[in-house]
Amino acid sequence: MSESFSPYPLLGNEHYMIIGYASDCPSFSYMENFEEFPLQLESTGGTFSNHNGKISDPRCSWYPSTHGLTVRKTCRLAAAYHLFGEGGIASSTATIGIALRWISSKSDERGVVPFGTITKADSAKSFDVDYVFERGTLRGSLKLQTILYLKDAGTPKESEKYFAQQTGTILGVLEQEEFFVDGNGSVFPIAVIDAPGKALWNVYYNDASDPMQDKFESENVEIRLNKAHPNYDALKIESSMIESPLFIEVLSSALMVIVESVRESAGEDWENILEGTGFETGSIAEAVYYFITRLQWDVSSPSKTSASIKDFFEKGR
Amino acid sequence: MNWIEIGREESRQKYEDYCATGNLGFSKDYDELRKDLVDLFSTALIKIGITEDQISQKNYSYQLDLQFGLKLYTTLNQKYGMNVRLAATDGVWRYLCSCVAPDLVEKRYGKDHPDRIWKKPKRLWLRVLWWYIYLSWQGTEEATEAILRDNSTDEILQLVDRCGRGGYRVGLYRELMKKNGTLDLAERRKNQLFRKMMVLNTARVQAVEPELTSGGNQGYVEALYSYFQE
Repeated sequence: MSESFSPYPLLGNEHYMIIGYASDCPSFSYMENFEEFPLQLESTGGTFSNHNGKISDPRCSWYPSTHGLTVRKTCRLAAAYHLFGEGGIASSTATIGIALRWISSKSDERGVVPFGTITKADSAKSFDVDYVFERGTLRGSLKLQTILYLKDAGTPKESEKYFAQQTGTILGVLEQEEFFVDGNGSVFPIAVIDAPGKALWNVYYNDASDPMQDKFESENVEIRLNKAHPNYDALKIESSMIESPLFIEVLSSALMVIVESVRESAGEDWENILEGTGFETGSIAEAVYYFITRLQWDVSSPSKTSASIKDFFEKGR
Repeated sequence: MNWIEIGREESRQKYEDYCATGNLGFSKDYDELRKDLVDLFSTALIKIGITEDQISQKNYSYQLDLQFGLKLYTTLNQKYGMNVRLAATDGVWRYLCSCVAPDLVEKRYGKDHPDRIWKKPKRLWLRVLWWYIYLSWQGTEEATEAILRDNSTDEILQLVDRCGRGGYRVGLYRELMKKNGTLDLAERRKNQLFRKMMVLNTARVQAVEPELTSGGNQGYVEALYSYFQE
């Protein structure tokens, strides 16, 4: 998570290590003719933790535009009392709430679902949340954050005035998960165009876009493969990558162009991208941040960028 | 309704074709929707009491946005199954604005406004209207109209453009619009109060989740308002 300066204490790693937070992967289901059916989670890559994936229906009936989505999740705190009083994140008489914050950025909507409270007197405690998204609400992905917030400031002692006082203040994020409800979870913008006389491929990059805000979608960035080119068939885009060294070359060069274009247009924000701060969910910057951190690319210079992208594809063979 | 989505390039091409030939090119599936849009547009003009060439005068462009917007919202939702998911899909609105009703957009904005027809996904006229009503909705068309009656196009911009990180907090925005609708008109205009409240809100939600405050969305909005009172 990004961290910025805060005038009051927030949940930090030192708290996280001692409060004994544990959670189950959420379960998903839907209703049809008054009967409930479970949905499955498919892994979308394997590099993520278990709490990510694509939601799919073994009955092939569920679709986010035709059915609602029920989410159930259980989480536990073994020693929440560490959060109160000196060294904690709220005064010893405060009440901390636990809530699920959901974001479905491709449907431009978000919300919160409070589902429990904690006080200093609580020892081990378990929380269940059960929430139904109406059909036609979600699009793209569903991001779930389990958050702690100040529900009641209590009556802080003189020595506890430095804690957050405003109810509703977000005190920390315990967990973040993302589940895809549409498509295959891979939303890489590649298009096939028909442009006789033009090159085999090119990268479209909208120079007017703001990489920190604008989405990593074909609107702003797109790898375009030209089917009118004599070498198009040699790309063998329908086959696996192993069979198509040319496609790997095209992809790695195109990704290089994208990273360099973002570096160019981000200006001073490039440092923020490297640190993973200040950009919108789903933005071009987030995609590049993902490439750099998850795929472990070295982008310290153009030659290193190029080399590490090629290494990445070599490893995938 | 089988909604059609189109990309930006295709949308631009369709609009250029329309500009060159004056012919609309859309699927037969949209015949009825097209007819409804034209009817709703002229009904809105009649309700305001103006003709097409008066749209750009006085505050009529806002009145048209409101009256046409309300009917557009309810008709698309009730008759054609529009929902948030579809309403957040760029291609759906691009098709509506550049293929089904570019002439109506031109009547509202004049000829040279590609942003409203195909170019800027968040600025497409029909999309902006749908979201303006959705984010202001008070349960019924009448109640919604009542809180929006005295607004201007600036409120539309302030509201719909502030999507925020990750998306709109719909309950909060409806509460904000309700509060704004009850304020004294002179006070609103003089101080640009709504704009100020929206800016302050953008800053506050970095640290606070309005719905989780002790007063909920309503109490949170009252606090935003009080901040600007002496």
